[in-house]
Amino acid sequence: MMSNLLQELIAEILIRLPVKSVVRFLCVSKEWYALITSSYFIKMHLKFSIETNRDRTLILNEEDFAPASHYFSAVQFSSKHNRFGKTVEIYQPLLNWVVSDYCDGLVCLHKGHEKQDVAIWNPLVRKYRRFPFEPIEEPSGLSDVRFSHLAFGYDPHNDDYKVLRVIEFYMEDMIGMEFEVKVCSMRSPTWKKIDEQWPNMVICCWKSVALNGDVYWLVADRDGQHRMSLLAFNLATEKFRLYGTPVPLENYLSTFLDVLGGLLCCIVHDYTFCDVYLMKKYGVESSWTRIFKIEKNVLCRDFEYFRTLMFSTNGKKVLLEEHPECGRTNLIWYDIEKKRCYRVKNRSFPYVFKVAICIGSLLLLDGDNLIDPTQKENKRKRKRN
Amino acid sequence: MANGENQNPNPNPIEATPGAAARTITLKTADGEIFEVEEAVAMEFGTVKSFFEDDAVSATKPMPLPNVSGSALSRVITYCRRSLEIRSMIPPATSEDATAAEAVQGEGDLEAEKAAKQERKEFEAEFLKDESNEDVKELILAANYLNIKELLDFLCRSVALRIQNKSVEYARKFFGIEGDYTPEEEAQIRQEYAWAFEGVDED
Repeated sequence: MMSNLLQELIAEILIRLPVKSVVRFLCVSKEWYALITSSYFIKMHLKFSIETNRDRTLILNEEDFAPASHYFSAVQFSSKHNRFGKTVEIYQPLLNWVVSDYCDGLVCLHKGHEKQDVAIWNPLVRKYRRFPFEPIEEPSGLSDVRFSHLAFGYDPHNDDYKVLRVIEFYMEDMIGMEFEVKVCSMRSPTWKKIDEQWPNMVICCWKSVALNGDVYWLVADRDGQHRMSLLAFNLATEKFRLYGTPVPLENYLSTFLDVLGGLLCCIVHDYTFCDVYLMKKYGVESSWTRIFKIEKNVLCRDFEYFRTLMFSTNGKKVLLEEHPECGRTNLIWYDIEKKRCYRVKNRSFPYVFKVAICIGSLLLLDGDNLIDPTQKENKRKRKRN
Repeated sequence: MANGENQNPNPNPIEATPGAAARTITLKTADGEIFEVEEAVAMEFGTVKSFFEDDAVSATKPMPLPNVSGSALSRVITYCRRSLEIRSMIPPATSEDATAAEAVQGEGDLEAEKAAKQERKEFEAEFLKDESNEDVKELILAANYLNIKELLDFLCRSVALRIQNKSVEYARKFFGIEGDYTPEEEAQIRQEYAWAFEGVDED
């Protein structure tokens, strides 16, 4: 018999365990099962993971070009030693899904460049949830070309993880533009149009980011101006708001958004250098601060773009995901003070890949299994080029 | 908790007369053992602290601790005493603002902090070395009842480390739990999460 008090203490012990152990202990008793799968425990456990950087895992979404396909592998990061382990290939069922974004140990995936097929996946508990296939509705006039964008983030007001899909339609007259914006979430897994009108602005970044219940894009006015702004969409109120960029930016510059150290990050590429800015106070435009500038020759070769993934354990280095114009993707530690780069040498990394970062999370424990457990695991070795 | 004050043998400045003996508080355990504890140490127990803050008069009578045994209390006192000593090795921060403290902190302070950390690590490793699972559980219940956050955190951390790689059976035994799944139900869980059962320590 477990008194309520004792259960509180058991919870205190269990939140200190990594995901694998907690999942195994689902088997201890029905009471433990109920405790572990309770939303309160899952939140506490996640909070502890985030605070202690536990079970930090990099998911590498590998791109192969001939034949065109996408694979997944995972590599553990030890925050204690600031080191990466060996890459482990992940199961086949996710073949050809591509990473959109990630949050709280969940990875948002899509299939097909039109992004009509979306799923949420927790690699550490090996569960996922597929959203209903949502076809794109052509607007009233005929469109010439259309682009799909996905955003994924956590809405703290409704305690829900939401996916936003924005379709930009360029009309046949080459002048008009239409937009379709729909939302789907874990608690409410059907696609719904939002009420607000998408502002008359074009998306000019490859990837959105989500932070503190808002989703951000870099956008540019359609009225002939090339000046960019930051468009924020609040997942709870479903309203838009515009912010200024760290410095005035023109549309032709390569600018990227990221989240670094829990802050909004803006990476501005110029021909010979790269500036990285952090919005130190959330929602305060004037708090954009440049935290470092990388001269392109420091990275030793021409890179097309890089992403800022995370700080090192002591906060002195930043992990970059570097994509060269041609050649392999690199993970690089940039030492902010010393202004030096250290390439992560790991022979088990794939050739070209994108990174999603996961943390020890029990979310989606009630999701679907990726592999039918009643079938024997079929590990086929994939040929590497 | 700011603890530079504990460098003074009498931590209660209101009553301090230089060189006066430290006040003690008397505690009585469930099995009738009486403990006279330095006030500084006893005040680490949240339960004791609020008891005496509420009712200063009872300072003369032994405070009853019906949920704690003598052996457990003895271990708890040892922990808190040592913990206070280690914390007093670190000079107090002059302000809450980290950057100001960093500016004031000299080489010596950083060294002291490092040394304290190392001492704590060694002390904690030694503290639970010979404790059985039953003893550790008793300590957890005591730390929880006495409301000693630091000790409770340490104990929970230690138990988590102990059971992290262990089997379901080990966990059941440790907490004295009867598995209540039917064989079919249990088999289903083990099959669904087979990956979580790989690489587990032998019992």
